[in-house]
Amino acid sequence: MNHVLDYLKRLERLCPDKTAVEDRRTAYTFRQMGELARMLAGHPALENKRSCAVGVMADRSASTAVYFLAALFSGNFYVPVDPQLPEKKLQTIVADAGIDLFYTDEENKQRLRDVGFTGTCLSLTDKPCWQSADRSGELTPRSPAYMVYTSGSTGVPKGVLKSHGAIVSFIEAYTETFPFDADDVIGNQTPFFFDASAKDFYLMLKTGAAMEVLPKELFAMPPMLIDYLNKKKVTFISWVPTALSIVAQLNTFTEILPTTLKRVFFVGEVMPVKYLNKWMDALPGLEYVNLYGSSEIAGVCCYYPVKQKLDAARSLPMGKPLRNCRLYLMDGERVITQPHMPGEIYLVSPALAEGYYHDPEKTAASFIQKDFGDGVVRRAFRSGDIAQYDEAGNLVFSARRDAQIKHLGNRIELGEIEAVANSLEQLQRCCCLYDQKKQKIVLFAQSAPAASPADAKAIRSLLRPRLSSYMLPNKVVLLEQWPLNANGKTDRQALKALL
Amino acid sequence: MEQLLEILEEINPDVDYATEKNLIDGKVLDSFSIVNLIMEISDTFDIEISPKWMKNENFNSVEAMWKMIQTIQEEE
Repeated sequence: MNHVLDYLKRLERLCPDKTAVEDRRTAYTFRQMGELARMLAGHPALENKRSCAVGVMADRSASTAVYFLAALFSGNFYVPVDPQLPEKKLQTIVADAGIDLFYTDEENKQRLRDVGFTGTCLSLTDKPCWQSADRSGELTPRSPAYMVYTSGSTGVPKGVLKSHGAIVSFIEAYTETFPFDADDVIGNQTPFFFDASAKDFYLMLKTGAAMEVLPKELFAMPPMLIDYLNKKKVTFISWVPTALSIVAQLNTFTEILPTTLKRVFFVGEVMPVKYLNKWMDALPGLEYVNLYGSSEIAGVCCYYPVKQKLDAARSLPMGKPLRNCRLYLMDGERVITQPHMPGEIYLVSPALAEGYYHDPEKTAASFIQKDFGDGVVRRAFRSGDIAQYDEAGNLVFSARRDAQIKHLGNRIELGEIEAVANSLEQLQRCCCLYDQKKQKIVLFAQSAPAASPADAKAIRSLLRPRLSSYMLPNKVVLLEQWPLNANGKTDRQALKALL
Repeated sequence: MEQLLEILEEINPDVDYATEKNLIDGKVLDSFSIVNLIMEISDTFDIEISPKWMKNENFNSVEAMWKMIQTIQEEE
């Protein structure tokens, strides 16, 4: 397999009339999706472009999948963009990627004009006066397929570019580990502009499973969401922990249970064990898997099947690498193999990203050439994540490299404090930061909806018996509004601003 | 009703709750706001909002929410 379009072509032969992707209003079969994508790929503005960025206003709609494929058929790569992005950020991305054509639904065309985009805007409703195109014959495994912008710790978005070969490497290993088939229905929650959604999209292309794009507003009313999953016969979900937690928090399962769901995967953040346990109590027969990945690798690199309920105070292991990944835990120049020794994760895999777009300096800092002690120099990604092995050889996340602090002479993993705080019934979520100036550990937290309202002092007393005294947060700040970024993850930058 | 409006104002002050009748269907309030909202309503009115109440029509407007709160209070 050289490129991802071969997957689509296989399905066009095998099951052309099977539903590929569906939202509340529209559905496309594999045949329709392929035909429409080739039509859009033939636009004259793309005729002489190869391996260039094509923008896609990535709404939660079935058409977004068609736009992605159109960019690939044209011989270029797609850059999914959040249509709600602030003007400045949108302009930065357009300029950085060098986008001069956007695939977008009608309603976003004006938005693009408003931010000063002067290139071509093309939608599915435009009537073509050009020939369809399929330039997949020119693609190689090294050809770029898509680029997602991540916010980056400095706030300046950086584009991570991935090749066809990287995606193929991941999706082959993923589907070998988890035998999905064409009868599966994927309930997609992760937005298309979020890298995690590529797992759903390419799973659909590889296996022929239908991708059901779940309406965003349903996540506000979990019982209706579950009802929708049942109606659409969804068998598999791979959601961010926040979405899974909301369902558990509001005691949805006392009202309605999923009836067709078989697999529940979680990715993107640490899944709180107490909410996972609620899922496992209500639905003991399902397959639960914790996934670990990074924007710098296609798909994910580690997985941990959760076979039984864990103690709420434990953090969920990240498990073991997929067969297309090698993972090294490094303490300086030493490779760690024994349990309970923290080290930084380095990844070696054909699924690694090409690097950061137009930024050789940053790329060279994160994607390095390294000998891991066996005399072979390999290209590796330095993740910045600190982890350790448990007794069974499963990786367990400790903290981000930058979340390891020195406080009153002690080396502290802020993630360890978070894990303990997360186990408290009274808290819905938390984030621990270090105030360097005042030398204080600050725990930001939000009360759990069901619990009686907690005050900061009470939380501190609850933490005292559970943490070493030097790790006890100096300050607990309870927030009513929890800052989240567009991906539904905790917005650490916003919290840092509150220090 | 006053108390309910205060809760809503705190969750999202940019909404005209007097006229907005499409808080959920119109995606004015998202899932994270709803979790906060339910928590606040439960605390303030000392009621338990069970999942059977979690329907768009019960949260689309202030009036609908108020009606729901009163019904739960009577039931309890």
